[in-house]
Amino acid sequence: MSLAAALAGLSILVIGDSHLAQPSYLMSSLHDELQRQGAQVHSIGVCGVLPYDWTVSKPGTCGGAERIGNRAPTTSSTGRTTAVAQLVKAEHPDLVLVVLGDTMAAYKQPDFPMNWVWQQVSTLTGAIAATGTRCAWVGPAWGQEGGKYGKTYARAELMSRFLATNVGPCTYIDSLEMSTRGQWPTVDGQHFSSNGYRAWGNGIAKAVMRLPLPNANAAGAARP
Amino acid sequence: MSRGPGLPLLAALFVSFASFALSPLTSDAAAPRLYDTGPSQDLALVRFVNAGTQPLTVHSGGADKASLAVPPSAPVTDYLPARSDAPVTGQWQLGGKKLPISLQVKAGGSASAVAWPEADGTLAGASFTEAPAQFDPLRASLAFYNADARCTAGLLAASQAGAAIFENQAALASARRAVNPVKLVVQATCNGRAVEGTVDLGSLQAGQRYSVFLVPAGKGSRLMGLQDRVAR
Repeated sequence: MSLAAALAGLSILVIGDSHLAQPSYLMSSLHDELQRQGAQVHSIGVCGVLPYDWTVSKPGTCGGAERIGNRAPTTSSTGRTTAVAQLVKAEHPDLVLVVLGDTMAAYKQPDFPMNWVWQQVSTLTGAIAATGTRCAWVGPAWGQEGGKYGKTYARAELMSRFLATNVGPCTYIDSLEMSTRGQWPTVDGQHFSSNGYRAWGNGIAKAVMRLPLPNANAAGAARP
Repeated sequence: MSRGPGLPLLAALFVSFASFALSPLTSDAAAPRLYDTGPSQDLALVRFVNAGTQPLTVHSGGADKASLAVPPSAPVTDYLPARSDAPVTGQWQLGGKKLPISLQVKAGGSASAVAWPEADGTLAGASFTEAPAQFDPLRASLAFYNADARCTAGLLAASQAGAAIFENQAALASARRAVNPVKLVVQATCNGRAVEGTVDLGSLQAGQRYSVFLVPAGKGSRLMGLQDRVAR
């Protein structure tokens, strides 16, 4: 199979936070790259949301975007999550791809809120697991230290390490391995410039292609 | 604005998510607008352990009288969110017998309340509180809770190698430590005498928490073990 057809016939649901909530963010780079690899992609991003928010329907507070297949993204000033169980029931994706990390990291707090993060993550992984759908979880990228979110490399690394050992049964996709610290330019320490989002989106797509997914064309043929 | 999952039955009485509310968001000209990352303080967690062979019930000390069944078939509840700014109160109940619960848990910390019926039908128990745990991505975390007041020197060891994991654990006290993520079956001694039975914890996973309780069982003691879970 050629690399270009790696995801042919697969349906992928991508849900996440602000990194997907602007048309020029992962909503473009990741979505486009997965589509180029043959997948049918539905991406939804709601700024500032937490894992639990994807187990219910809840309005966001700072913007959202949604994109289906090759259509242009739609945006809203708030955005709204939809319970992942409801999305899976309606769309039967082969893979749920979660992009969440920065909204939980508490970059400005001296202590990492491990109990709270544990419950947040367990709530969403449990909801996805209950649907029987394969899932992968994309953790935070390095970004750049400082900025208005007070991002630090140490906390980003701790957040990533915690997710890596706690997102089961989802497979963890480690964004920290995709760049060196500060390599991708940001606009505020946490959100990347277009070059950064292009690199991150490509890195995530490559990681998705390495996942143990069902035979792509067979999955597509089986879907009504 | 609530930033936490919907609260399960009992926790709704123990915790107010108002304490986790975040400051109003401020608008920023650059997109996206500013939002908070994480809560202002961590959750406290509480779980309940039925160390007996009869179904026990936990009743909240709150006004709405919520209750939680803890049957012997599922003797350890998931960790539930609890308030950290005031004592967590309630009571164990078995028929007409009651045992009060009062726990003070720090934000980021956790507590385990254990109860069992005595031979005369009364309820007895022990409670353990833990400080916020350190996360180690390369190792598993194992706690040993000695709930048997008669066991003044508890020892927990790996059955395969016989290597001690916890030594001289005082009665009604607990300890937690990092252990290598390997397949682990544990056994115990109390005051130098072997405790009957072993607990198979399976293949420990790095970054995950596990617990072993040593509890009274008639004239002796027994072990209960599990991988820690948080309520979803």
